[in-house]
Amino acid sequence: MVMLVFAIVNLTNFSVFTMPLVILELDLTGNERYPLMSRKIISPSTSVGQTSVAGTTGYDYTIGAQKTLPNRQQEDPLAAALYNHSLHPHARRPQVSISAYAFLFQEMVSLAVNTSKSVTEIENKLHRQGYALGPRLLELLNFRSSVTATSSRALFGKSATGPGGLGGPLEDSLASSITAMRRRDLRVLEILQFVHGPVWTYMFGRQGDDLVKSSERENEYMVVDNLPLLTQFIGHGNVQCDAFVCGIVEGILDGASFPCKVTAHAMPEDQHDRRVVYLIKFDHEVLQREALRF
Amino acid sequence: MPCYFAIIGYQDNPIYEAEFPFPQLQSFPPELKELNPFILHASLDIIDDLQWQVNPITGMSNTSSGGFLRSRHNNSNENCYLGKIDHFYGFPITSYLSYGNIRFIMIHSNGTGNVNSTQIDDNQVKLFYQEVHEMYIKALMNPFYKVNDPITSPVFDSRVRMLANKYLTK
Amino acid sequence: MAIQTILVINKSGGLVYKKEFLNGGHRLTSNEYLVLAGTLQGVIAIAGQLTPKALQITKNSGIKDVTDQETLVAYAGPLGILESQDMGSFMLPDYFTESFKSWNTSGLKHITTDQLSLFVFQSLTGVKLVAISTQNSISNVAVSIAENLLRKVYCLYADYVMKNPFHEAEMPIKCTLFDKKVAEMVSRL
Repeated sequence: MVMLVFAIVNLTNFSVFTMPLVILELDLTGNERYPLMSRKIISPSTSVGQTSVAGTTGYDYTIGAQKTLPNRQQEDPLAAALYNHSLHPHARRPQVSISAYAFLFQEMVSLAVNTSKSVTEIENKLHRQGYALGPRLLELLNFRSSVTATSSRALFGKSATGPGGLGGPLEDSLASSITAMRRRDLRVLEILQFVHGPVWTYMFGRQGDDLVKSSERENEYMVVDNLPLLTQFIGHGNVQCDAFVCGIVEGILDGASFPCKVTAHAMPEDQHDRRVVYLIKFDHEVLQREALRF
Repeated sequence: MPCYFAIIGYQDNPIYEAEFPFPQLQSFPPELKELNPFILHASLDIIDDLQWQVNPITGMSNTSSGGFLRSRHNNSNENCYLGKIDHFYGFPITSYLSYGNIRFIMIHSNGTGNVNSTQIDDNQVKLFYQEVHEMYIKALMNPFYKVNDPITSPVFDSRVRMLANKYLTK
Repeated sequence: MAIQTILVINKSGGLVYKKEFLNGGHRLTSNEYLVLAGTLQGVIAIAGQLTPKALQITKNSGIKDVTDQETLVAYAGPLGILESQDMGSFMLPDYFTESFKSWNTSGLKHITTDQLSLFVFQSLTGVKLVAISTQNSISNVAVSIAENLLRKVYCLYADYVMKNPFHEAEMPIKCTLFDKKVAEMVSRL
């Protein structure tokens, strides 16, 4: 498996849009599309009887729950950095140069093109890259929208840790200032509005242009984008590069238990010759559940 | 009171488990300890039902299975924190659902075997879950972590234990 | 000034893009265009060699003198850019609004015949953009307008060619969006 991590820096003097994903995961080898966790034999939790060893080595699913005490001194500063960063939307620079992102996306597509034999394979690769981001965005954006203005106390993640006390590194957590978490989206329309609104705003700096229900089929919805930001320099060729966005949307909906298939279709109109329609086709179990529950 | 906490992925696989033995290293009785994962997984069905209820906390929905077991003094219309969803011989089981339907479940016990005296403080438990949720999102931000894989980071482990110390010790 | 043709020549002298805007009249064949591109490349190189060495050294050493002023090309208005237009990765209402330093300091800039004029814009990377107009203009204003226009084409090139994953460096440009944007800009002149 090859993983690439990209960090995008802001360049000045170019137009900017809301921060895309700082982290992208490219899984280049797995033929299995969404592989299960690696299978190891899990022994009963009692196999390790010793308790309360100071310091922890992390969770090991072959051993099970361990009874260790928290021990701050043993934290690896590099590994802890991830957990010290605040999740607040303003904690980091929220914008990124569109040129930087266009070049990054260009490289992603080139990589897919150079390692694929057919157009479908290229699209599948882009789709898979996007799919890995979906569940992350789902959690992150929902969590962020739970944060209210009053909780800006935890704005910057690197507040000085207090002298001693186990609560030290936890003081800047956002969660403790949240009084009510945003509700999970239960209905198809709610989750689609989430995709059309916050997700689109996060990725492209503006809402989707339209959200339409198919008049022919019950389970089909469409998110319309008049000028897709990612592929604005690429245009419609043989390869539909918006498969990447399809992957993200599908990852989000799948993560929220709305299994579906998302495809992108170029449908130029008079004013917008690069208009793209993202067709979301829900599995039938989603409709059945909706009919049963609400 | 000792607690057994687990994060269960969407394929009912454990992503993370921990036992919080406090105060003073008080832990589950050995005969119960082995059962913990089973008890916890037995309540997954109830969560699956509550997951799609409009008001899982108050149980004001057309389906009400599991509702009678649950604490009712929390009237918020949140649907992430599910409150007490089940119990096993007096040990309450609380649960929390993340937006990606990753389940956070915990068995609370007083450790003495006195089954009637285990009380849970909903506000504290909810705060604990929210904090763990934040930690979980931070773990998700790691590009080398795959969704639904076990979280093996020692930092995550120690942070969760610190949170347990902060919110669950009484 | 009617633009007849816009050409893009890569750094090794190959013709990578050709767009004709006027119908009728005598037109060159593809082969003749290739020869033209190669010839221009050679002439530009020779012109560079002809520039007095002293001038080249002062330029390269960055000493400020009067000639520096002359290499600045003044901004010559929107030239076919609409206010409402989508500017791609550029933020301003126009691609640029200031005068800019010409990178073509020692090469060929301008050829005039009785029938037409030919303007060359050179980029730092060696890409050369060529515009052929149907007037025999000899004024400096015409040259500066042409350089402004070609710089805008170069901006389009930066967006719609260089950011397209299906374009291969130094190969003929087959990007429909670039084609369309150039045509739009020239038609609004």
